[in-house]
Amino acid sequence: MSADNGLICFTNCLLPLEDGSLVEQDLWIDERRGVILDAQRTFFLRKERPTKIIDLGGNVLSPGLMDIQINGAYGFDFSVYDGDEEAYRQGLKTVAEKIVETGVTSLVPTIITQEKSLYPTILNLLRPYQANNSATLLGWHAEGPFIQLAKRGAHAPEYLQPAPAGFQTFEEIYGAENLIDKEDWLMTEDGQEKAVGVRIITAAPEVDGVKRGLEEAVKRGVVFSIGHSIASTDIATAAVVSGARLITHLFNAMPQLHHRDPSIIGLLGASPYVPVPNAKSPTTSTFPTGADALARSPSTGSLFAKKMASGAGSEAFDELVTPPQTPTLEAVDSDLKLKKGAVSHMPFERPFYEMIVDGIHSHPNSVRLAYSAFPEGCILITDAMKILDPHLRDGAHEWRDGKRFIKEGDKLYLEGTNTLAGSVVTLDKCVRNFTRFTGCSLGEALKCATYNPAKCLGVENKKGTLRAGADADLVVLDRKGYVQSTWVKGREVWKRAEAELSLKI
Amino acid sequence: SSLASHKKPLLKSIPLVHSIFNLPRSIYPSGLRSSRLVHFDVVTSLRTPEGGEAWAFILDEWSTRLDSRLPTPAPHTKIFLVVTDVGSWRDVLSAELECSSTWRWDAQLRGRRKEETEEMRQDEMRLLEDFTTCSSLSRSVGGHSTTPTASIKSANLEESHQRPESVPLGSKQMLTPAQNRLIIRDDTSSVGQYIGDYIAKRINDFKPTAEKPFVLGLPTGSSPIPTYKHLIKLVKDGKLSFKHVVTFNMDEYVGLPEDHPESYHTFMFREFFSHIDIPPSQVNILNGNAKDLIGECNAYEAKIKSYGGIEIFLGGIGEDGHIAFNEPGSSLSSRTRIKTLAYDTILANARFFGNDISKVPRMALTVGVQTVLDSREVIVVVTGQRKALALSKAIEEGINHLWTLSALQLHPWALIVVDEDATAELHVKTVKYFKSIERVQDEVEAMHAQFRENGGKDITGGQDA
Repeated sequence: MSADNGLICFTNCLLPLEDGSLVEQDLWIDERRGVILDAQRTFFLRKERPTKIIDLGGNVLSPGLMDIQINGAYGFDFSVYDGDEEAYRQGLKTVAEKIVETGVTSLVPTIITQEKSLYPTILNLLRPYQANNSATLLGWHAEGPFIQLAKRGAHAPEYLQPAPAGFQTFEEIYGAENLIDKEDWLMTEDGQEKAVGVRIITAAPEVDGVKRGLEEAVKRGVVFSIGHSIASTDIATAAVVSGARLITHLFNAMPQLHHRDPSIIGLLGASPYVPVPNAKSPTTSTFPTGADALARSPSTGSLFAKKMASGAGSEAFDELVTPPQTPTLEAVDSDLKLKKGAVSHMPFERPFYEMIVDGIHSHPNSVRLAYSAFPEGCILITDAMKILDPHLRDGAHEWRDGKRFIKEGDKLYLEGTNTLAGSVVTLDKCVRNFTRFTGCSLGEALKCATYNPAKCLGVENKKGTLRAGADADLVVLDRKGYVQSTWVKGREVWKRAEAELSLKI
Repeated sequence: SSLASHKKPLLKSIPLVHSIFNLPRSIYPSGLRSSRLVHFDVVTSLRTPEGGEAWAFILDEWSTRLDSRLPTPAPHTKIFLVVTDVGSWRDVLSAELECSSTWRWDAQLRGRRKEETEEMRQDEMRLLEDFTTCSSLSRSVGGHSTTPTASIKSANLEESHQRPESVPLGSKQMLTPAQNRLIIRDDTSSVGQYIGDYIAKRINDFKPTAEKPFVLGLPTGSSPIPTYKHLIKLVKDGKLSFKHVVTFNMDEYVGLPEDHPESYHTFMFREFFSHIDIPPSQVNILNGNAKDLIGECNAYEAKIKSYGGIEIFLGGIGEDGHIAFNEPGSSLSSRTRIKTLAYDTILANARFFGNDISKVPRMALTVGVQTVLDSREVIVVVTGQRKALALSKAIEEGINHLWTLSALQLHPWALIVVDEDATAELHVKTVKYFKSIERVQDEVEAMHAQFRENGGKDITGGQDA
């Protein structure tokens, strides 16, 4: 038998392709370099074939799952920093090492609104981190502080603020060095101190100065996400035209879908003919955008101002003042599209949208509605709290300040109330739920947890796909969607123990 | 003068002529065999195991006369005379040998006679073995002896690599009856299974090693896919290994990048090589992007020769009866070369290039008809109704360069495996004939196997199939 050349062939497995289909195909990886190989080039040009062959018994071999919004896990909260750098780093390391059992191999730690002085430090600590035996921390996701008070959820209201100086405020709060336009970290060597990683900022575009700030941030390579907002349709659309690529946990912390002012949720149904400046588009429209639009349309958030005034209650029963007329695209003198089939290919692109698919944060029907409207933009997230731990049994657990919480499956309640206290679903469970809620195939659900988030962040050449040259971060799932083993950079870092094979966690 | 009686010496004082025996041309050991002419006055010099010398003369229809300028061989030099057809040469030979005064004809002229006794046959076998041992030893020592005569030349001994002793003459594996077989099966998957099992058996019986690999020629196209699938299954079941198999593909487009989805590199990798355990260095496919295409073709031929020739060449057939890219009108003695594709072929291929004719390659490198026929065995897979006409032309009609597969009729050991649909244009008589002899063929092959197992040596292509 020839000496081990460090190449591994996974055979007897199903591979999810980037279009969502599952094919029976072998996958070759280089375990020394930790990358996925182009098998044909390796065979004919390198003249080598793998010496190690692993038979996966018909299981699914998927790129490792990617979670772009997660607040903590295994008892560590990314947003809590008490001055001890070492302890924080250790906490990050622990999360990264343990989360692989849920099939996640890349994640973006998320921090909620903080006291402003903490941001530069924490964001600095959240530099990209990649160790051989743990999931990769891709960078940071800052939710707040430029969010809407009315939709703050669990964020502390005293730290919310507007951005009067636009991008400068961003730099003041987050730290200018954290927003520097550096070359993509994936092209720099591992461990480089100055590496700047993936950065996501969630903010409300109707808050003062945010829209100006987002234009500059997008130029710096930051992924701007609309969330915790009450923006009207016009403002939300304008934000997307300015470069917002993502919607934070769709349906949660945003206005309900009103049919005459669909707002942020309605972005999934935006027309392809929305004008994009500097784009060579034959059609023009007078779809209101820009500053005039903001002035013309009813005052921002007026629908909600009224609601807040009238007190709590289901929004469905409120009599809301609706805009006098739904804006329409002005007719243009050119032929309409004549060929049946795909939607017009126009410069305007709808944003990606995150969804927490635990069946609790959104009703399964809502999940299916969103997916049907715009499948290519769907990203699954957990938005998990620090309590996330698949091994935690149901029941009462200590939290903080003497309070306890009750865990019931994926539901988390503050003891004594019916208030949902956050999410503790794992990403692989989201994938399984998603197939049930929408009726889609396992390959398409995996696409929403691997390729779509990678594409949104712009890292699809390295993470989230099975392309040649991508990192060999893989997860083996059985055909029911349960994680059997997880691989990071070509090495198996977690394997389901024999005794647990029947456990459905 | 009749040489019927073998008790009378033909000539005086030839201490050396050992034996003349009848061998079909196709089983000359490499180095002495070629498709070109060998002259009687060419002596091939060999070495015996004991370090002595041996000479061999080969007679064929162009041989003229024993060159009297040849020096007298030393005593006890073995000499072999190989003729292709004893009958026609008896008279000439006897005349020559009689006239020559320097030679004494000691041995007897043998041929295929009815009264051939077992003893005579054993003798013959032994001599044949001697002959081949000498010739192969000579090969392994690296060529010719140092006999100084100018006229000792070898018109056909090429300075090629040693031919590995893959199939020595007289050994069990090599000499099966020369035959052309047509096997008919119900559908494409049974055809694939038959060929897969056959190739697996041949490889396993051959027992290939690193020094003596099994050389296999492979095709592309839709016909061989069931065969590949079955071979893959055998490899995955552990019944077959390609670790010591060397493959040569038939053809490749010119100018198409290797990783293009329609290139034959992609096809072979996707359909076959990625699933079996063949080492990549043992895979040979023509390089259609070489700077020197003609050099590439010549190098390919040379590489085949360096392995001692191809053991089995598996091939398919085109609707116009072509084998590899040897389209109608190709010379039947062609070698590996550049071939411009016929308009029909380009049209047929357009569907793989987005129906854009301008993107279809116009040239291809292909092995020639003669390259395929030089292999020891040829297996052709013909399935589907579209190939029926081509099959009938190739089997039932004459050898015709417009149906290049018909050249197979000249090959001593060919196997064509077809499915029922492909027999659509054959005469009922033909189909019935081949179906009936398939049963008998098994019996005869069993007999030969038995004979070999008992230590006997087949020397002839006795089978008249």
